[in-house]
Amino acid sequence: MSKILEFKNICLTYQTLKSETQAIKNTTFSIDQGEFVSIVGPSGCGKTTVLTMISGLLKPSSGEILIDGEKVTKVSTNVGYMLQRDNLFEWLTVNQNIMIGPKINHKKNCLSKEKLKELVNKYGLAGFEKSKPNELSGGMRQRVSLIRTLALNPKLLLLDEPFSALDYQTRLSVQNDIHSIIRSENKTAILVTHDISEAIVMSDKIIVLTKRPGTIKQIINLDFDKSLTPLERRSDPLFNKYFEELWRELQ
Amino acid sequence: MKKTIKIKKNKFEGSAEHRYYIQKEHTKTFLIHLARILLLIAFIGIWELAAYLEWADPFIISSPSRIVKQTIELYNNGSLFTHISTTLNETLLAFLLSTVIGAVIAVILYMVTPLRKILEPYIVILNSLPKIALGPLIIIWVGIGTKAIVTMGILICVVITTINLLNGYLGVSDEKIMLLKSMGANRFQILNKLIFPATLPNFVSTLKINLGMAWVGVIMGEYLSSQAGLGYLLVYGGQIFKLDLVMTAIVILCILSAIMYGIISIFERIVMKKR
Repeated sequence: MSKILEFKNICLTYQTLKSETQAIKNTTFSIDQGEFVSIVGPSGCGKTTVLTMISGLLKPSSGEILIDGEKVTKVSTNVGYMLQRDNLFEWLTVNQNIMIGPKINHKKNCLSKEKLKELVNKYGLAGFEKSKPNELSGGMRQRVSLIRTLALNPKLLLLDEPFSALDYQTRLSVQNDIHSIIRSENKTAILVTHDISEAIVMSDKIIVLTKRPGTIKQIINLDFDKSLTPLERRSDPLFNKYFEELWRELQ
Repeated sequence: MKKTIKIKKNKFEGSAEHRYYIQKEHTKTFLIHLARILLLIAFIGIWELAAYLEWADPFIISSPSRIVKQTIELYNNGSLFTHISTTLNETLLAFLLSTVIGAVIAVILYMVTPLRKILEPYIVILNSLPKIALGPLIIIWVGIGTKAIVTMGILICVVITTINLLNGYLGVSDEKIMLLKSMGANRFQILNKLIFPATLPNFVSTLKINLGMAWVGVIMGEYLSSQAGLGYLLVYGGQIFKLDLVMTAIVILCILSAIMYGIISIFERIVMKKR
C-alpha cells in the first residue's frame, strides 16, 4: 500500500510575548492510502495542531510533511478539513453550501455536479437541496458539511472532533453515516477526538499522543472485522479490550 | 339546525379554544394600535386646547392649527418644497456618501491588519470628538452652503459607519474563514463569499443608524450656514421669534425622518428575504 501521508520529525513551538510553548516534539508517523486513523491524547496535547499543520494552514517549526510524496508548503485542496461545528453558511441553501468549494476553485479538480447530486441522494438529503441549514437536523448538517468537504475531491480528510457538538444519539448515527461515506468513497481520513470509544469504533489505527509537548506514545492497530459498522463494533468483544488498553495509555 | 353547522365549521378551523385565543390576540393588537392613535389625537387636542384657552401663551407654545396655517403660508409663498427638498437632498447625499466612504475604509482596515492597528487610537479619538467643533474649519475649507452642510453630515456619519462595519467584519467566525482558506479561497473570495453576506444584517442596522446621524449632521450644518432648508427655518424662526415656524419645521422633520426610516425598513425586509 502506498503512503499518502508522511509526518517526518515534526516540531512545533507557539510563540507569545509571555512565553514559548512547545506543542509538538519530534513526531513521526505515516498513513496509508484508504486508512482511517484517529489521534487521541490528553487535552492540550496538540492534536488539533497536528491537523492544522497537515492542512498547510500552519507551518511546522522543523521537520517536513509529505502528502502523496509532495511537501506541504501551502494550503492545498488535496486536503479536506472538517471542523467541530459544521460551519454551514446560513444564507446559502444546502446545494449552494456544497458547491462553495468548487465555486472558489472554478471547478478545477472537483467532483462533478452529477456525482455530488448522487452523494446528496445517497446520504439522505434528497429533497433538501433548496433548504437552508437552519431547517436541517444536526446530523443532516454534518452530512452536508462532509459532502461539502468531499466536493473538492480531497486525497486526505481531516476531521477535527466533528461529532462533539452533536447529542449522543445523533452522534452514534452520524458516526455510522460518516464512516460509511468515507469507506465507500475510499477516502483516507484522520480523526482527532477526545472520545476513546469514538476512536475505537471509527478507526483502523489509533495514534496516542503524550501530554504537552505532544509526541507519539503509542500506535494501536485495531483488528476488527472489516465489515463491521461503528455501531456494531461497540458490541464486539474486542471493543472492551481496546477500551481498557487506551484507558490505561491515557492515564 | 344553525347550531350544528356552526360546530362543523369550528372543527374545520381548529378547536374553539384556539379560535378564542386568536381572537384575543387580534383584539390585543388592535387595542395597541388604537391606543397609539388616540394618544396622538389627545396630544394634538390638548395642545390646541391649551393654546386656545391660553393656559400657556400661544406665542410661546404655538399650536397645531397655527402650524397648519404656517405650512399653508409656506406652501402659498412657494418656499415649502424648496426647504424640504434642500434638506432632503443634503441628507440623502450625506447618507449615501458617508455609507460608501465608511464601507470602503472599513474594508481596507479589515484587509490590512497593520494599518488597522496603527490607526485604532486615532479612530477612537475621531469618534469621540464632537464633530460640530469642526464647523468653523469646514466653512473656511469647503466654503459655505450645500458643500459645508453635506461635509458636516458626512463627518458625523462616516466614523461611526466605519467602526460599526469593521466590528461586524471582525466578528465573523474564524472557523468559517479557516474553512474557506482550507478550500483555497483568496482574500477577495473570503470577502465576497463570507464576510459580506455574513454581515448583511449588521450592514442594514448600520444604515439605520447612519440615516439618523445624517439628519443630525445636516441640520447642524444648516445651523452653521444656509440659505434654505428646514435647519435654516429653525434658526430663522428662532431669530425672529416666530415659534410657529420653528414648530412647523420640527413637525416636517419628524414626518420626513419617519418616512425615510420606513423606506429603510422595507429595504431591510427585501434584503433579508433575498439572503
